[in-house]
Amino acid sequence: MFDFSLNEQQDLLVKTVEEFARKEIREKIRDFEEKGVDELRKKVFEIGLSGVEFPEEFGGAGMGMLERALVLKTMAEKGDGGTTYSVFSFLPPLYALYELSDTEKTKEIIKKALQGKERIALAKSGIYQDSVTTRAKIDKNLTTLVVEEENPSIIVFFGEENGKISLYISRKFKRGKKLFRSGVFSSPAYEFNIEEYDKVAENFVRTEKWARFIARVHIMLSAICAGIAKCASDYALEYALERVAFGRPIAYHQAISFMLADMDTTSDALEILLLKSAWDFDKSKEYWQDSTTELILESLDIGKKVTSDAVQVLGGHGYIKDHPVEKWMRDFEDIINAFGSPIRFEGTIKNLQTGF
Amino acid sequence: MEFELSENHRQILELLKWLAKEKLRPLGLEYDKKEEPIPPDHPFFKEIKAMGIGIGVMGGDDGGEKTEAESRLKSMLGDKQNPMLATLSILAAEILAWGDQGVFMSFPGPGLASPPIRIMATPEQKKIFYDSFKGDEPKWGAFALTEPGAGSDVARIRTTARKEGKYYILNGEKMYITNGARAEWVVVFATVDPKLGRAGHRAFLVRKGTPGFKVSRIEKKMGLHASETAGLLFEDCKVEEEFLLGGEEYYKSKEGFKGAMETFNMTRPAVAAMAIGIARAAYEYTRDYFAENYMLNAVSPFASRVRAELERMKRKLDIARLVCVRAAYLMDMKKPNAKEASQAKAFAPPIALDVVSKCVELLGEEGTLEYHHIVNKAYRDIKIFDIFEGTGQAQRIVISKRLFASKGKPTEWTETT
Ligand SMILES: Cc1cc2nc3c(=O)[nH]c(=O)nc-3n(C[C@H](O)[C@H](O)[C@H](O)COP(=O)(O)OP(=O)(O)OC[C@H]3O[C@@H](n4cnc5c(N)ncnc54)[C@H](O)[C@@H]3O)c2cc1C
Repeated sequence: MFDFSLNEQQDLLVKTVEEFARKEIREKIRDFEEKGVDELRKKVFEIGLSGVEFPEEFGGAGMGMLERALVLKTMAEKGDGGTTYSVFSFLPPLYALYELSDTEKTKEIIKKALQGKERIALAKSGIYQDSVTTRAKIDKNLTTLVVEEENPSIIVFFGEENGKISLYISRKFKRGKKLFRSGVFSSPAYEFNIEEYDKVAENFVRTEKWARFIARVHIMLSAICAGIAKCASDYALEYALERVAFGRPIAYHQAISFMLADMDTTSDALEILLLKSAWDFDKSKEYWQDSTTELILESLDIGKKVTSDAVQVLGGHGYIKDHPVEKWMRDFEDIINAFGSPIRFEGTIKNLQTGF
Repeated sequence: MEFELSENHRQILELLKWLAKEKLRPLGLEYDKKEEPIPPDHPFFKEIKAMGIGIGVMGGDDGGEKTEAESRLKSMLGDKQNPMLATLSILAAEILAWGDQGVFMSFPGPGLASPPIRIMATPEQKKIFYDSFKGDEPKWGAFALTEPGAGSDVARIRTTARKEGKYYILNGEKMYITNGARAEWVVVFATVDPKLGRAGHRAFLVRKGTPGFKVSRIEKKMGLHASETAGLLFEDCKVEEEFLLGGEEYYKSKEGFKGAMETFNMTRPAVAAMAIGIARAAYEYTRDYFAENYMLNAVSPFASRVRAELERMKRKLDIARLVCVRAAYLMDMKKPNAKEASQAKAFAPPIALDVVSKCVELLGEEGTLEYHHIVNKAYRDIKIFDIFEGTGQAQRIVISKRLFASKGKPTEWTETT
């Protein structure tokens, strides 16, 4: 039957992350935008958050995506979403290797990465089959790939060869120019020219493995977006209770209080959907794929509205970098679209049944 | 964490789904065309009474009188520690509304009178009340708060209660009362002194036939035709003091009005779930219609738009349902749920309206005609869900007050705050 409560282990996990996020992140988010997250990531590894969802044989904690979602959402909510995304940028490439490739070599890479001994990054251009082709044409011109890491040790990327998409890794590449970007400054984006590469997985497009990889990425991105929505909503509430206009704190003007109520309601709704989708995935419920697709699309709808409303509640002050809401609005669009637009998933739901 | 039904719950819901499809649906369409409420002596009511199904028979267990149906349900669910009746009842509400909401609202049973009885009544009152629903005859309960001059602003009610010896004399008018004309018992909210505001409020159990209690009119509505919406008049209506809900003591703590409000923590998630049920019916009908007409996998701009719209509808209904389930779950866990109940009520009905109107639009020129009666009926039925049980605006007021309180701030702004 339905149970929305956390078990002891999950409760402890959440409390640990909450404390960490308040102490190590919230007050310093602008620093991370300038200096990156290397130091912070080390601390995250130290408290054992690197491989929560990976099996113990990989050096993980053997929990699931539900626990991963709790970690990411909490860190984004109590700390900062963009920073959380940057710290955990090693997850998407590991999900790709873990789900799609099962050689000893990749297993070693995963293990090392979870110990912080590899700096692994996934090329941004297209984890989805229809967006791979633009940059990574293996046979013709493997052009510049975009990677959110200044000094990676391994770049993982999807490439297309003779019309077929495979997964590759590269240890030999040249960093090109730094790209201007609009959000998540804590993850500077660079162009890289790949010089040597190995194929580590093939024939996975439209298989269940591929779907599982994408579902993991969707849960990860949605968890951070749900956290951003919750903290933007809370920040706007606290601000509105202090800022006075027309004789009272603006929270007591109904145009604002209704917005605050909606922000709270929808970000709560997104959080519940997040936990359910992650649970569906972990339990391999027959509809896990639809469930995680609904999650990423709902994250898009809700996150967009809530982060923009938070800026609106702060008025001109929200637009200025003295407050974090402008950052959350920018970061949100960067994170939700990190590996391609979720809009492509509209029209892919398999089962049109609704209800328990 | 867990997000699925137990086998027992699933079986109960399947039974209800059968009932919804075979009985509620046809009856609802029939009375929608007739544009009148199902008469109280319709055989359907006896039939479902015999099955032990009714409104207000479950949802929250406060250790008070158990109704027959509730005990039977509990035994069906096995002797589990927590039978999760609130959660079960909102999912049941969704299914029955999926069948037909107007018919569902006219189910016999204590109805909306039940939650205030559970929360406020003395053991003796509970016994008299619930005992009167035993037996074969279908009977109804009603909840009368709204007045011509007071809807959302419940503190403005002007129906008066004057103490005279062992009686209270009620005077005033109530309107839009669901099942008000057929009700065996009406829970009536009145004031002993309008100047006292909420502190002056009292709730009474008024039985059908009490001298001075009259039905003034049956409303004509946009939808929900099968359900009766009545105006009630109280003219020197003499109510014995035993029927002051909760007894005099209850109101000493100035919490009388809170009783009415707590009622909503039970009913709001259920009403929100009903909105989902109505929208789900329209959605499923539209989906199946397009599937039968080979439109779901066809290649054309409109076909792919239909597909995407249907998916979007399903997604919105899925997330709205979760919000309702969470509110009910908290109730089952005996945790505070006032904010969450209002969130469900604020969130689900606009989504449901959006879904239903999109169904009408996708069906196009025939969408509003008899051919697709279920869908255009849903369109007329659904709008009220953002209005009764507290309007969408009223919910947002509740939510924001809770948010302010969570930050240690006053819930309302006054010049002295
Ligand atoms: C079919 C039907 C069945 C019903 N069943 C029952 C029943 O069984 N028992 C019962 O007691 N009542 C019942 N009602 C009444 C229903 O609960 C009320 O209609 C509802 O509470 C709204 O009150 P009102 O109609 O007076 O609107 P008003 O309170 O006059 O509201 C008008 C508009 O103003 C808005 N508004 C009001 N105050 C504020 C504010 N402070 N800030 C912002 N906006 C505000 C409202 O949201 C609404 O949009 C029923 C109504 C219908 C139509």
